[in-house]
Amino acid sequence: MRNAGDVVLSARRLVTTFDTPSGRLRAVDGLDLHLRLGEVVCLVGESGSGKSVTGLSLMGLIDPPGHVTCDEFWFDGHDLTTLPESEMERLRGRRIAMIFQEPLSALNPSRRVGDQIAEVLRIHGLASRAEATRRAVELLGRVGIDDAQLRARSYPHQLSGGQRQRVTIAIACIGSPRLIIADEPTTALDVTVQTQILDLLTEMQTSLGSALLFITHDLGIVAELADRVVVLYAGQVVEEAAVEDLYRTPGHPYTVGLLASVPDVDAPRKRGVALAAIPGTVPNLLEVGTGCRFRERCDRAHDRCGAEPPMITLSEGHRVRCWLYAGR
Amino acid sequence: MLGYLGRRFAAAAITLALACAAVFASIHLLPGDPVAMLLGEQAGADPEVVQKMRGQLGLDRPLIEQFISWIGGLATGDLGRSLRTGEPVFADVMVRLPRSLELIGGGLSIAMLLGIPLGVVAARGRGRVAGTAASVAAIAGFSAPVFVSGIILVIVFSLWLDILPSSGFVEFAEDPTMHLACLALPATAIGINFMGVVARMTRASLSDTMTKEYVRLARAKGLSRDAAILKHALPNALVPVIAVIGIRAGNLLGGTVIVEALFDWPGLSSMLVSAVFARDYPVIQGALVAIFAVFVLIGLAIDTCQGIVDPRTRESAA
Ligand SMILES: Nc1ncnc2c1ncn2[C@@H]1O[C@H](COP(=O)(O)OP(=O)(O)O)[C@@H](O)[C@H]1O
Ligand SMILES: [Mg+2]
Repeated sequence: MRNAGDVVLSARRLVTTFDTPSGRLRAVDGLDLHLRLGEVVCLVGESGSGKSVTGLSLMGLIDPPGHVTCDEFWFDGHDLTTLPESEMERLRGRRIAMIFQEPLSALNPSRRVGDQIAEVLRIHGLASRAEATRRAVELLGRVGIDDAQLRARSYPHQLSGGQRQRVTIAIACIGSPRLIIADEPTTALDVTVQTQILDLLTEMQTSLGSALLFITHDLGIVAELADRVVVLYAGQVVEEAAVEDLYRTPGHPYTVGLLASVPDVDAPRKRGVALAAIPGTVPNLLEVGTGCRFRERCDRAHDRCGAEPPMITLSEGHRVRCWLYAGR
Repeated sequence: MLGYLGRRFAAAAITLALACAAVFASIHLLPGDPVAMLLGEQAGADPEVVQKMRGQLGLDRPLIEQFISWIGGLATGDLGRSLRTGEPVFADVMVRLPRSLELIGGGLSIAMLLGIPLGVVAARGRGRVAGTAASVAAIAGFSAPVFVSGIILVIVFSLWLDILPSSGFVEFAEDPTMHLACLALPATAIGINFMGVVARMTRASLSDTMTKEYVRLARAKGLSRDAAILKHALPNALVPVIAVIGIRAGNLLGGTVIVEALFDWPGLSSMLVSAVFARDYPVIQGALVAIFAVFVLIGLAIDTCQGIVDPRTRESAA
């Protein structure tokens, strides 16, 4: 594990709700998250478990009918629970940045990619127009785009999927952020390109010394990337651990199921392992009552699981939300 | 970009040529002898007069020869002479064409200047008071027929406020202020009618574009929601709006028929209408060709705008 630096983000009891016609949906329900400079934390869960909503909540980009509340939310010395939107805008892109799943739809089709990178510096008044363009071209070269001078003048549709994701990585990195949130940045890419993009992302993160919150449903990636893993199920953290602890002694039956569905943990280069190997699906968030949300699918469920399970600390930094470990 | 414009230009030229052929055919191939039409009831009475007229108009020659000479005349700016006045049609068209273009240009500018901001407010404030108010205003403008909005404008600005003339025309060279004062109401009448179309299209297109991931990324870069909408969503949202404006350009031209009559504006449409009543068929032909030319030119202008805004159009449009 890399040396963990200062805490850059610390959120306690983050709740994100959406008011839908059929009722209020709690997409993220009481998430605790602490991220340190220099570390890579993977946020893992099946589709619909609330990973993207978590990322957007941390960015402050949840729009109505969505609503975010948090008992405590510190980022880089700022109290985000009281920070006005105009101040938050000054942090976004410069101190906290996000990379999205689909690089083509994340880029403006009618703007040159170089301009889209340089725009970050322009928005925050960090460079003159000429200087911003120069630094955008330079960074484009560093993220592995050949002929950067020429490529900077391309439009997104003229680039390959991998090149586009390199561009969005450049957009995220040009402001030297303290935290990068990457929401399944390789899911839309070819397997061969995925590895290159992952290597690039960790390389950039290491050189910036920032924290990386990597959102994925692919456990193959987690093993080779993460320092710590947070497992999300139906909007709740069900387990959190250092990556070695999680793979060696998984606590939550959901995590156990996930790991069992990965064919060979020692060969993490095998990618594209979906988390659907556990029978059943994530419950409808509108209908979850009290009790463990995984109990319908759990082979170790019993009567106690009808009550809200406690979060239990198994060892330092290893927490599980499950009745199995209560009273030990 | 140049190659794209070249292709659009060639397409426009072909369209115009086909339109000219259609104008010619509609007068010469359709049942009904134009000469008989011209002479009205007397036609049957005196076949000699008819024959003389045919010779005078060149209608006794084979159709293909007539077409070639007409097209040849078109190419050299000769559209024949008016049967009523004997004046060259081309000269009259060239005098009236700019007046109609002015009306359309003014109307279009007003429609975009009002319609686009209205559409933006409506899309941005969906579900809020400002958004709903903007939507209602857009629909009101859209549903008022041009003669209704025209009459309301006259009542308000000429009769009540007495600040603009209710109708008439003064050459720009003669009195520029008066010229623009006369233009104001007819252009606004066309503009308000078309504004509804522009506003509704802008609202629909922008509501869709606002949800795109790149607008979210723009905010993740540090732009405010409004800045992200204006800088990233709006330019892309306007591409289909411009296309629809092009398709609806016919509405504008149609609008000028009513507006030129209502405000006594001596443009192409009023020329066409009076020529039809007088059965002055060289003038009818000339006015129709000019109107088609305006149509094609608007289309070309729209294509050029689209090519500038959307880089993908330049490559995909063959
Ligand atoms: N704008 C929204 N309005 C209503 N519900 C939403 C919205 N965005 C996300 N959700 C709901 O939140 C839940 C979590 O979604 P998401 O975070 O996208 O899942 P993941 O990224 O883990 O696949 C889903 O049930 C989804 O339907
Ligand atoms: Mg997602």
